Amino acid sequence: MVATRVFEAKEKGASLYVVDPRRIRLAEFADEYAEIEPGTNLAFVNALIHIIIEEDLYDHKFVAERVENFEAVKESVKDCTAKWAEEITNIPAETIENIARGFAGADKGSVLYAMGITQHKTGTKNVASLANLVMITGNVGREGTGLNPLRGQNNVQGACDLGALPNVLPGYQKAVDPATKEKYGKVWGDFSCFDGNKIPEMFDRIDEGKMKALYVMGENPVLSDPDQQHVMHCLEKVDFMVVQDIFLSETAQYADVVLPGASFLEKDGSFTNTERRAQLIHKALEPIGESKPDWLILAELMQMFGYEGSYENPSAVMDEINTLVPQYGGITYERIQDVGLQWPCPNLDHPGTQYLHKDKFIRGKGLMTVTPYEEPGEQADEEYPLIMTTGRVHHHYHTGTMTREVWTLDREYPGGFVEINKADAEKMGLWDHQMVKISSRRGSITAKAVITDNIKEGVVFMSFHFAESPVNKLTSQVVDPVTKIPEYKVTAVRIEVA
Amino acid sequence: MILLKRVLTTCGYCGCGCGLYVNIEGDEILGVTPQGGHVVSDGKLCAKGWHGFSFVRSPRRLTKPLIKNNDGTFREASWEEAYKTVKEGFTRAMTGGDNTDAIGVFSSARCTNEENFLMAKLARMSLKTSSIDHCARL
Repeated sequence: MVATRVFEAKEKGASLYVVDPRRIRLAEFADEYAEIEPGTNLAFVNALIHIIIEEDLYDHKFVAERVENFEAVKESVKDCTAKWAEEITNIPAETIENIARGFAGADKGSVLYAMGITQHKTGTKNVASLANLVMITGNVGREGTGLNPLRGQNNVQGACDLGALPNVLPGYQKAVDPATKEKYGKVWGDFSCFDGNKIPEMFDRIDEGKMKALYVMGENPVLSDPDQQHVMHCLEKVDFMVVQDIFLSETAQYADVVLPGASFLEKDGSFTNTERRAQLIHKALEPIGESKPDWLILAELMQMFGYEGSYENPSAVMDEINTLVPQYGGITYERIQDVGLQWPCPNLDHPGTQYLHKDKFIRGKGLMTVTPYEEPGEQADEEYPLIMTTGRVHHHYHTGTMTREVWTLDREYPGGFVEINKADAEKMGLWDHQMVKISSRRGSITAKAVITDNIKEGVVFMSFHFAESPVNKLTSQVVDPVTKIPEYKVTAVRIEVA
Repeated sequence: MILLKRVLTTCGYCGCGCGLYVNIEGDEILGVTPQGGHVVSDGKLCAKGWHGFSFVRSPRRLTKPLIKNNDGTFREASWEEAYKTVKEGFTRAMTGGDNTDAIGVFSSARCTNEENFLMAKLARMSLKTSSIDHCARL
């Protein structure tokens, strides 16, 4: 869907630059395609910034009026020449220069990215470096510009907005801020208002014997989280575990109690998309069997624990959200009946916000961050000579609990596979569709080899949709120190005939 | 006579949030129709949007609460019994130690805004834990 907009822009004369270790389909339409070595994003982006400053292509007015820390960033990239970056990223220096000049020369430039930027040890710095890039080129707060993260799951945005994070209450209100405790205390009474553990830390706390119980709603960490053996060990170890899901997933097998939830077609509510737009969903079917909408299960459990309030329907929950979450203050079911609203939307008269940071950054001036290149957490060596990167395919969704139940989708990709470059396959004597064993420092799995030109030499690609080829048995526990996002994009592996 | 019902909703797959009608007859999904003029999708859908919804009536759907037996198998249970078991289990975890993070909660990027809000409230208010997270990182 996003690609259709890219095509439209391209038809109107925009230049398209694609940077990916896989020659994705969009690359066929690109003005420049940069086949980047996994884990070297920072070297690439720092080189772009170096060239743009060195050749005086940056937006002087924007830098002077809207950003701070420019000089420090300028100093930090002074040796990041295209030649230097070529050594690290394997992208020809000329390509890097063309992209830098093209992006800086455009009247409007937009950066689209997803997990290829974030799922690295340096995920936070990768994003910050792209923020530097859009700031020095003045590409913020106007139509067709900006730094645009593409959310993978339908409601990642809403889950973050509404408090499914350990360090903030709904609306990104910091848990450790006394004002938050006071505000929520008036409505929620006594509640836990600390910086809690992120998912990888929860597993560590279970392993240490400090976390005793788990409640997992609509997630499948056995397939989706890094280092599967560690996850399974922790799920076995935890004293008590509740899973709420629509299927008996790989994770649900470990539960003491399984609660049957309802799918999105069997309930009312709202989702917030990647452009911060809250939109309604409507019940099309009754929940199957005795299953219940998840909101109802949660509300009933709250009452089991002594809560005296009740919610008649999801709209009543939104009423409470309106009062507690400033960004959603004016987002009512009545207003989003036909067309969704983009937050921040603080009150009923507010039309919603199409562009964040339009005339000024929310914090005042845009802060540029020094982001020096660091090597990824794992390196290839003699024993594990290839670098595996992971991701999704068009016809499947996450751990496949839904799409693998749909035959028209499953037939497109009926099982686990590993994409291998032709030259690498030739060296190993592999033939197309042969079963191979893929091993990392953590374990081994098998999958079908798909031999292709569309991936960089020395790199292989696998997808985490398939329980029979569980890729996260191979991935490491290397994480970004700030966000704890796992480094899914760089795992050293070896491949042999199964 | 076929009684077709069309329900307008937002696709539940990715972060685009496309608009579509689900075409229903009785308890069966016959197909979908993209919503023309939708602010995001304007009458277009991807392969998952067009084809992806028959899982909703899969015979493998969970239809009743399950409780694990001592031998590791599951048995079906009533909601009442399931809720009671959940309450006992979490209460035991909460009273077992002196910390307030004895329970970990995974909320879901596939659930609605309202459900994530309620999960945050249940975790922090009822289960007295700040350890709530979801798979934004995965």
